[in-house]
Amino acid sequence: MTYTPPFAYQSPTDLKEACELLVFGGDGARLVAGGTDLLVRVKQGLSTPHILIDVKNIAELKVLTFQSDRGLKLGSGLLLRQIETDPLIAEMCPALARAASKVASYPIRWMGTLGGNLCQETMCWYYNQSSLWRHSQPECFKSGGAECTLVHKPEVCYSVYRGDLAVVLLSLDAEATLLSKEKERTVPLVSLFQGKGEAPLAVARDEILTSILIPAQSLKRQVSYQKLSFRSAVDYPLASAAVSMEGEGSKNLNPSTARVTLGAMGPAPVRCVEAEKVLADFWGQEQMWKKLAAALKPYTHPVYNLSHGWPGYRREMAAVMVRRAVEELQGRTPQNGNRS
Amino acid sequence: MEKNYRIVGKSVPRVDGVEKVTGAARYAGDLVFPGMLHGKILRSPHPHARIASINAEKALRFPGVRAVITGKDGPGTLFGFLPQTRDRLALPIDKVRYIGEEVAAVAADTPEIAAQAVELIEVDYEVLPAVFDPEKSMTDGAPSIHNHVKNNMSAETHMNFGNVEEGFAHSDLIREDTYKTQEILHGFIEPHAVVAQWGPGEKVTLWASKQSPYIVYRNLSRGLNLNPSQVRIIQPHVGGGFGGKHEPFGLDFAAVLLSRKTGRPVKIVLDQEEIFFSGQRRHAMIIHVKLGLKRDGTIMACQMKLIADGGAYASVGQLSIYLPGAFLPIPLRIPHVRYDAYRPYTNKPFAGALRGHCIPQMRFALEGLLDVMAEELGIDPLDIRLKNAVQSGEATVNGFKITSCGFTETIEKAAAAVGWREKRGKHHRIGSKVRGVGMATNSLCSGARLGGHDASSAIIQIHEDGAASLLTGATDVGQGAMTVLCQILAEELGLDMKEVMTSPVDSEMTPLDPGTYGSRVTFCSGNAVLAACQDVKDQIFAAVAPKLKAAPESLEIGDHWVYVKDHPDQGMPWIKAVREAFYAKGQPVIGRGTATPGTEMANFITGEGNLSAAYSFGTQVSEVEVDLETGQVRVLKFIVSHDCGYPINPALMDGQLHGSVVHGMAQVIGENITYMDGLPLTTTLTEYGMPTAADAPAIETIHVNTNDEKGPYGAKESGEGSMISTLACVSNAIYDATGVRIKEIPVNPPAFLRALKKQARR
Repeated sequence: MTYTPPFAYQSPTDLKEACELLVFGGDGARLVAGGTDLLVRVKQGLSTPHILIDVKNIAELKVLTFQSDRGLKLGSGLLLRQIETDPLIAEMCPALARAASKVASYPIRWMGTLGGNLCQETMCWYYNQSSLWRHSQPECFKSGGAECTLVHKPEVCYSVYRGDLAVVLLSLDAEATLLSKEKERTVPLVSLFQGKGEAPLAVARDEILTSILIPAQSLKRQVSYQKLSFRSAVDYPLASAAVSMEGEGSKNLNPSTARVTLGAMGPAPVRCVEAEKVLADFWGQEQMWKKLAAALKPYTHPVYNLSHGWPGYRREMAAVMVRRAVEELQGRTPQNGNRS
Repeated sequence: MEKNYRIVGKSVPRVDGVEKVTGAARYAGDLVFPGMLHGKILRSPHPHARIASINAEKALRFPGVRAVITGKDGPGTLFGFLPQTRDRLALPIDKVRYIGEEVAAVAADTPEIAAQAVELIEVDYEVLPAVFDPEKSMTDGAPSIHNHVKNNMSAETHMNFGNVEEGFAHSDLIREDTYKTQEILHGFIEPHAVVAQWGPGEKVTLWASKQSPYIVYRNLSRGLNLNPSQVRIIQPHVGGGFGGKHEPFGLDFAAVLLSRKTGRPVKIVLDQEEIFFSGQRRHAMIIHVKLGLKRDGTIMACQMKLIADGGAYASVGQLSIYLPGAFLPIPLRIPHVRYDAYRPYTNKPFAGALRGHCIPQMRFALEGLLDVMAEELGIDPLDIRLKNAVQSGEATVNGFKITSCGFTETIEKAAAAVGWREKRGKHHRIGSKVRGVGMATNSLCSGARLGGHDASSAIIQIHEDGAASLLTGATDVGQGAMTVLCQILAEELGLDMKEVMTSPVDSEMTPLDPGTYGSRVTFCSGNAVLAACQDVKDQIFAAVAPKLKAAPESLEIGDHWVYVKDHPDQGMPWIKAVREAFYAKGQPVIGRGTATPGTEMANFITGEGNLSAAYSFGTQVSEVEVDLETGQVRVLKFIVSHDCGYPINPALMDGQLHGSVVHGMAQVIGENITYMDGLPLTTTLTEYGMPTAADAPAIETIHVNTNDEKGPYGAKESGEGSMISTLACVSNAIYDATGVRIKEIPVNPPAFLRALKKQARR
């Protein structure tokens, strides 16, 4: 039987109270919404909160509004299932709805939230184990040791960010708003992912991710999200990619506006500027695919730390996912990355 | 022959269905007893190490901890499947042999306390060199895992039938190759769970999730140095077995020893992670196969050398490596066979039985190479199977006597259902994906005589109101065995399903039974129920014959009606007949019946002898789709054509066939446990890659009924047999789609992509 260590639990109904609780709880406080990511880690002893602050009942986090001058604002408390099915999102940003539909499984999408999905912890099969397992082995860098125990390199962590939605939102230049007791700040979403496996998120202990904005300009973009996972459902991506560019339908695409983002290739979802240049410079040319694959390589840092995740394979699949995303934008037969 | 029964042959709802879907069914982990303690096991972090000392002081001082036990609390007696393979202790005393082996256990007031306290037990190990590769383990100089054997050989078998040299001499085409398979888990959703209560007196009671409680009671008593009658096993509902719940495991011994020390009931429930750390699993295998064929496709000879990774203990390994050899010449006829199998120990969790018990791996190699050779000869895989199909009335070269046999019909029907001639070899391409079809065949025993006591028994008690209770030692692990047995009982005694009931196995009350393995329950226990019904009838007929003015032999039972065979109107209601019988003798009617597998014992070392009284036959055809860019394989469709004699409950029979498909398919397309020096990195079913419903193919089942003479209502095996062909079936379909022959499973996408590219350049 899996042991869950004890913790205090608070369920504030407004943001102010939540921010105060975060300050009160200090380092021992953790935010929880669906709990589908956090509680697994609590049970494994990877996270040892003294107090869980449940933000599920805060109405302000469930906003979903469209303003033609600003864009589409999504509260971080929206359920993945809502994002998947909401008519406004389906109209404004169908790729986001499709990406949400590819997360985990139906019951988990009824629990998990946008904020939780974005702030997902990174993963590695050496790190994500029970305490009994880890205590019988040398500690890795992420769990407090001196080196990555898989690669045997000091002070580095190769754990992998495997969220689905961030990859799409990054390709849409999304912005994130964070609130603390002291201040509110709005930053590019991409800046939250600092690329360190041991501490993947640039979010302060006392901050709450309250909403995401997809700027109005980005809503004009065509977007495709492609995900390769081992099974048709439940699984995290082994490789994922989003490509967006301005244009109306598949005919008038403007490759000079392309955004290419990758997921599951390292500790952060990444925007691949060099790959975007290839799309701009070689659009429609025979050599584009080869150049694209080469341009993507520097953005991929897979090591053998995921089940069914052979590193060379994941790197190769990143290029396949990008190509499939471009092909979908071009109106060719969409080919889902996973088995579905 | 069209049969028409009231209840048999119909898909009546399961007797435990409502209970299970409403959550009312109680499994071992649900049970709660007054004063019950909770146990947690400490497992070895080393694959091979001497236990120098264990210090439990800190754990014992932890508030709420009631006891700690180690291997030294056991009697130190070895147990095992056969006298020569006894190599396990209750818990190890001197050394551990795999990461995850049970070293100590704690009992505490709550599971939370137990989980925290167990980490406070300090164990001093002297680490020993370990060996994980079965081929290396067999060589001189490899670390010795058990001292009682040479070269770590836990079991070996050498079979020689016909004259294999002569067979090859008369062959026109000879090919050989090596195939490899991985270990897989049973995948039961209910992990191992037990509650043990020591006493009163020198006796222990276990409520445990077991599929063969009487195997447990024999092995457990040996490991505890008790008599079997001092061990009482009570069987709650079981959440799946698939061959993985036959034996006692560390948790059973730990719970018993903790209960003996504390005098209180002790519950231990493993979590799924612990399943990855402990026995059992399917044997990983390296199979060298050599096959000789005539130009017309006739199989002449087969030579096979099989190395099975046994893991740290022998378990039923001697049987595990007997089975692939014994089933080599069936259902495709092979007149000359030579088979050498080795099962070395390695420092990994031990292997054992799993759905089809080692035969699927053999079939993967055999029918893979057969397809390769058929292509060389220009023969369709369908035709080569029809050519070599065994027929009713013949015997295999090792002495299996084939009685009822619809094998050829299963091949023809499966091929027709998928449209074999139209689809095969067409490499139908859609975008980056290409499709193909594959075929493979299977046969399995309907129960086997393994030695010692081997009969199934049934006791039927008739109640005052005419209802009937069935007591058997057979276990329903979810396959629906109790429903099938109740159907037979209701049919025989003219009752409705709601008037028949069963009680769970209780080794003190229910008759001795071998267990739920070898696809034996419907056949053996079903025949026992038939015999017990006959006993009931004899008693009732004797009592009512005078009133009906007829000889007892002339009476019959229909729908709640006891009557004279030739004069159906001359009878009385069942309830009246029951009362007549009760009052006549002043005692209740209790019927008894026993049935054996019906054969002499086969020789497990030489492989000779008729294993079973009836064999099932089947053919599977699959259609797969391969993504040439990602190397992923999706199984789209499965046709499962099976001769189970006669399906007593067609829906339950289909459930077995569906399970075989998904379970077997998963082994080909990716279920896998990755180790790092004996340490499993794969510790969840998600990482392991167990398929979801979304990955399952469309499955079409075809029942080929041959009405076996010895089977109850003509029924034979259906539980495991179909999986025997699944590995070969899927890999053969991948070949048809891509031209790449899968010789090692699971399919490894990067390697597969490399092979696909190489193939494309050709």
